[in-house]
Amino acid sequence: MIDERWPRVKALFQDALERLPEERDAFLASATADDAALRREVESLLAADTANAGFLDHLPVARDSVLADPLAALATAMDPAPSHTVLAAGRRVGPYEIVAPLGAGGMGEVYRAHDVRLGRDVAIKTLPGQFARDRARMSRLRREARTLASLNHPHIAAIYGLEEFDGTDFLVLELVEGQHPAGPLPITEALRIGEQIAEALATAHARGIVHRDLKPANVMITPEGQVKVLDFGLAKAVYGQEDESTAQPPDVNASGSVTGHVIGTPAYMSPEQARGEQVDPRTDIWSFGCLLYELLTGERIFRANTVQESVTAVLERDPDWRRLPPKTPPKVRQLLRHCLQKDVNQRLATIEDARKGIKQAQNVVSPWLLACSLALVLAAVATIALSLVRPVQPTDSSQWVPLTKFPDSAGQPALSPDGRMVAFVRGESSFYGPGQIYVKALPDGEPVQLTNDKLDKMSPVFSPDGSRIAYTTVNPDFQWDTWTVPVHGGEPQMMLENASGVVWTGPLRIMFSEMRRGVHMAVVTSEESRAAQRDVYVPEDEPDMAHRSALSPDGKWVLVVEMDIDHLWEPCRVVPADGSSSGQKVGPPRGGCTFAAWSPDGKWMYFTSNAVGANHVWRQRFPDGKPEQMTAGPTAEEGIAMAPDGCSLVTAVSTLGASLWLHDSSGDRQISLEGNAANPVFTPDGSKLLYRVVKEQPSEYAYYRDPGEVMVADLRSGRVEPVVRGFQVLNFDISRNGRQVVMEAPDEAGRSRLWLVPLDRSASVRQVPTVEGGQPHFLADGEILFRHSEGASTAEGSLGFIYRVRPDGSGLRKAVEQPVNQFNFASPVSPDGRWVFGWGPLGGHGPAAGQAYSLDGKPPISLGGLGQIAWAAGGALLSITGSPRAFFVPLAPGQMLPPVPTGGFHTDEEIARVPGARRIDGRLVTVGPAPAIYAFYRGNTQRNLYRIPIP
Amino acid sequence: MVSPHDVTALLGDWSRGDRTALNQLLPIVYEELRGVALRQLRNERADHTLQPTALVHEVFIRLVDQRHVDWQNRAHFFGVAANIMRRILVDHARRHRASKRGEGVRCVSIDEAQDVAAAAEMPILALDHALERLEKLDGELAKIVELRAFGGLTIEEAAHVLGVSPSTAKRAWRTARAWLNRELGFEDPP
Repeated sequence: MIDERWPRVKALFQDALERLPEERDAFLASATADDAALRREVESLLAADTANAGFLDHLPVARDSVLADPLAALATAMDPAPSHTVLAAGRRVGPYEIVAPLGAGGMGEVYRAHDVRLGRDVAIKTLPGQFARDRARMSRLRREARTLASLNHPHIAAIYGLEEFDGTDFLVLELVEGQHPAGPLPITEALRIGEQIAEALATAHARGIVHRDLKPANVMITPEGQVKVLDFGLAKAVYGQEDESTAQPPDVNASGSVTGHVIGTPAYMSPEQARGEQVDPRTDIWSFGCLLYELLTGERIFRANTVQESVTAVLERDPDWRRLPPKTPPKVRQLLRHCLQKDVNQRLATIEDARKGIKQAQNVVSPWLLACSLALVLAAVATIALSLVRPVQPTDSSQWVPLTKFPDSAGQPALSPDGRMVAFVRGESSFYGPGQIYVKALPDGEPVQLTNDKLDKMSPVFSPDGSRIAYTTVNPDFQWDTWTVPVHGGEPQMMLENASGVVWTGPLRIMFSEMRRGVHMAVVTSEESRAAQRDVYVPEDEPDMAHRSALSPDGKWVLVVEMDIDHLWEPCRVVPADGSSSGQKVGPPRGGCTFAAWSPDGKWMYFTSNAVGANHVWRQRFPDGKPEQMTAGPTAEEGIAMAPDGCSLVTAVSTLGASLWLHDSSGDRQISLEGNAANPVFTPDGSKLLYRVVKEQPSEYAYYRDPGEVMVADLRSGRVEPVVRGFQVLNFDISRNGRQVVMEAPDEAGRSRLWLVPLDRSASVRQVPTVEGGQPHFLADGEILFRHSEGASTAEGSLGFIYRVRPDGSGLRKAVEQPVNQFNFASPVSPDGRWVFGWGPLGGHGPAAGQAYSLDGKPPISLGGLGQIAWAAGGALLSITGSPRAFFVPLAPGQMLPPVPTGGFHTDEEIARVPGARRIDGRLVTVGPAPAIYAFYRGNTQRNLYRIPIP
Repeated sequence: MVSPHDVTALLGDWSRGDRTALNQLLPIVYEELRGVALRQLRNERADHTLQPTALVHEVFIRLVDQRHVDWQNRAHFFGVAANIMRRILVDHARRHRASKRGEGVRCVSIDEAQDVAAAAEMPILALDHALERLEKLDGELAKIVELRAFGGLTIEEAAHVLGVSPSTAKRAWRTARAWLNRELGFEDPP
């Protein structure tokens, strides 16, 4: 070690650095005359000074200052050795009274100050002491400052002047508050900002002023949305001409600004700037192109870890145009290419041309949007009663900002109280289902998995202090509990049993859903400990489930998301928070409402609802505005997390539907071509496959409230056509002889009716007379089983029953003694016609479970809360609702049910243990005439979180 | 769980000279940083290297109430976090190396070899050793490297933490960098 030498080595090294390279030898020779070892030591450090300058930059990946303060950018670091003057709050400097420091930058300190003469707040930026001591430089800077001060434009942050008081020199600047723009922005927003920047540049260029350091940190968006370009020409005014630059490579500090004499920031620097050549207004055009690209893509156009890499990229690399959003107008693409020509003579000549280009692109965007809106209005008119809702004004989906990019699905977003983190369930279901809780710092943190267990999950929410995420779990026994997990990771803890959809209504107060008798679920409020619990809303009909709730900002009203007697989503409801009444339905009048939220000011209610088929975002003024549809288009949106500022919401957008595939001896092939396929049913001979095409996307439950045409696919020819063109049905079945199709569709009064049509369409559709009901299935003798819902009473046996009727409407009688909630399953009738599968309360009034009901009056056999059976040729399919697997279980001739454990099946593993069980991967499998031929959905639903701006 | 308000208050106390506040702060920041770092090290695909400064930033956002902290307190926080980040990374790199060694001799595919390189274990360990030597030689130089390399601080921010002028910090940084370059064999070829 050379400890005792080190102070001397260090001092000589640092002194040598202050000198020009060619002077260093002479300096060292005289300073170390008597000590050759000392000289070698200093020389070895000097040799290492410029070597591998990026080594440490690679390690830290310090691309941006972690301390970056929005206002600190006023003091964009540009100076190799700023002075460190400190002005205390309250101090007077001439007419300026220091209010508070805004941040420190390379050039010096920046303060908010009050100009007592003019009665306005300004920003003042102190200058490095070394400049103040350089008289020639100061007088030039004064001249420059006067020119800059003459720049007067709404999009340019004004430079009021250069002043000096008490020996302190400082620039007096317009105080601009707001945020720097950060991509990816919606295209229209990026263009709006780009246009205003171009205007500012055009004004400056007209006066011969070049910015030289245009980048996001030098642009501010005020709270009113106005663009202000900061620090115009300051780089040159303070540091002089580029031709003073030395051959020394530029140095960079962690904020990405260059120190030394090359002016500019590497990532936004034009090639001529990077080479240290003279620049003209076209250098700003280059930087403008970099900036616009970054606003559109959210990525720096020339990404690099070090200055060297950055310079190399600017000089040599072609931008990755594929990163531009697909909807970027061609005009804008062309403009960017022109701005980013490396050869300055090939580049766009004037910024005014850029401004015009953007203007044209904006004009192209608008009519397209208009046409799009009109088309959607027409679609909406065709689907729902126009008088009840306002015309559709959907947000432009090109403005949606993706927050996650999973190849599978993420849903049920929740934002932290400060809006900086989003929690969600990564899993297929938008209700409850297998999946894990994730959290992600916005906008671009890595998603972090917080849970790792097999419980079904839903409804994540942040605690008021943002430290924990509470979420609902549903266990195989259909018990609904709430757990919490720390945001920064850790073991999940059970928080409350029999509590779901927890939301905090105060620091220690919560609102949640609690299961009462059976699955009847009420909204209650209590302290976190569950003390002082009281009811907020108890659904009138007993098996109804109120799953989610949201308290209005003023604490007086609660939005409730609930399911009806058939466990289908109802329209949402707003109820008084004191529980004094059951309130009223809100949102779009038909269709299921799955999520609800309030705007932060309490003036709007937001919903996701499938009122027009697929789920979309809606809103309605509180209390009695008309529902407006906010999103539309080929995607479906579910879930609402309102940003704290009320300017945007986060929802889960699913981008693909479900297609139906056939597996047979020749492999797997796709059957359905367009839309989402639902409810596949084979004809008895296996030659054809019938299914419905619906707008709604599939869930693991296959509850399709969404009507659709029944299609028939000929499996040999591949031909697909509707059974009855334009006839929208909810459920259907085909007779055992393969000739008749029975369908459920509402009549003119909206009541569920049964309809018949021959598959060969030799006759037209006719109604099964007199009966009302749905979910029809044929028995072998041609009779039809169906379910009739028996209204809202809570008396025993009122849930709905399975009846049977002949196709001509005669012989109507109850088929199963026990009440049944649901009978819309695939192949729910055993081959001998003595058993049917449905979902209903155990013992007629207990918790609901999948059950095999006897048509001969025998007691039902429970398959468990989530167990399902579907009969098929030679056996049956057993599955757990929500599981992506099914098991084919062979049944001996005459045997109708496999051995079922008491209480039914709870897991795939239990089913797998049934003798002969064979696993089939694929959702909602329907087996054809032989076990080796089956139809299944291909799991191509992809759901990701997007931020949607609120107009 | 400590609330952001607590951490913010501790930072304030500490910057006003209360050393006990630092003792309370350290374990909180350590636990938090270690959590995110290890999670990221586990989850990260091999083609992504860890971004220590991003992690430090993430933890800062989680732990500190942004509305009630000024930039000087932010600098202090990152000063602490930089040191902790260094310890976590070095610790992880050591374990990683140990576990690789434990597997015994076997053939490594090109892909796997790249994984090992991507884990960037050697530069961190080598840097750590060099930094330890630099600490003995000149504590201030070592500290500024830690702040910049592991905490992502700018020169000005590091200067504030060290209580020196930015120009001194700048000189120290350049000196430290030259010294490390030389120690790690990154000298210019003659």
